[in-house]
Amino acid sequence: MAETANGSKRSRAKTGTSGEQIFNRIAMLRAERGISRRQLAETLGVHYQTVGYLERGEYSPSLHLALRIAQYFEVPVEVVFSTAPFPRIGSGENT
Amino acid sequence: MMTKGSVRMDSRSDVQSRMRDQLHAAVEDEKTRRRWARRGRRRLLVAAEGAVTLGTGAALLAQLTRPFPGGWFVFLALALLVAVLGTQINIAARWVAGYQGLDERQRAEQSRARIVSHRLTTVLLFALMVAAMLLTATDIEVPIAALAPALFVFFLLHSAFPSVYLAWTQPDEVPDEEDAPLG
Repeated sequence: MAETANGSKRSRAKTGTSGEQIFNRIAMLRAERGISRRQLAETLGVHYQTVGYLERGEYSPSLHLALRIAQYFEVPVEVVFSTAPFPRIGSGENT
Repeated sequence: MMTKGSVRMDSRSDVQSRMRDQLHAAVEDEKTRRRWARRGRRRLLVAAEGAVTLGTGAALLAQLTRPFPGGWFVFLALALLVAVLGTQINIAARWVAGYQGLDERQRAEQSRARIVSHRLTTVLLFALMVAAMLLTATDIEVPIAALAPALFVFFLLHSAFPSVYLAWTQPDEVPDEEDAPLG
C-alpha cells in the first residue's frame, strides 16, 4: 500500500481501464479548509460516498471531475492528483 | 402551475419532479442508508432473497405437479416476500428506476453490474441449452410442469442480479465526519 502525504495508508485504486493507480491529496486539502465530504460532494455535484472513494483511491475520477476538484481547491490539478505517491510533508522532497 | 377555475393544477412536470424528489428522499433517507451501510448486512439480505426465491420456485413446482390445499397462497406469499426483499436490495444498491442524480462513479458501477449480469445469464442460458439437448438425446423424461418454475427463478435472477451484484460487492459506506458512526 502506498502512503499519502499525511501518512495514512491507501488501498490500491480499483478502477481505471488499464489498472493505473492514482494518488491524491483530497483528504488533506479538505482538512486544511475544514470542509466535510458532504460539503465537498455537494459543491462538486457528486455523491458524498464518491468523495470517500476518491480519497481512498478506490475510484479514479474522470478528467472533468479531476479538473473541477482542482478548481475548487484553487490549486493546479497536479497538486491534487499524481501517478506517484506524494512525498511526506517535511521529507525535504519537492511537492 | 396551471389554474382551472379556482383549482390550481400542477403540470405534469411538477408532478414528475415531486415524485423524483420523494424517490430520492426515500433512497437517501438516513435510517435507510444506515440500515444497509454495512456490506455484511447486505449480503445477508441477498442470501435471504436467494433462499426465498428458490423456495418460491419450489412452491410453484409443488403446486403445479402435486397441488395441495393453500398451495397458491403459499406461492403468492413467498412471491410477495421476494418482491419485498428485492425492493430492499434495490434501495440498498441505489438501483431504483427513475432515481436520478447518479454521479459518474455510480453510473460506472451500474454499468459494470449490467455487464456482469449479462455474462452470467449468457452462461446460464448456454448451460440450459446444453442440458435440454442432452435430455432430448436421452430417455429421461422431464415434466413440462417443471418449465414454469425454472423460468420463474431464471427470470427473477436475471432481473435482480445487477442490484444483487452491487449490494454484494460494494464496500461499507463510510459515514461523513459530521454523521454518527455506523451501528
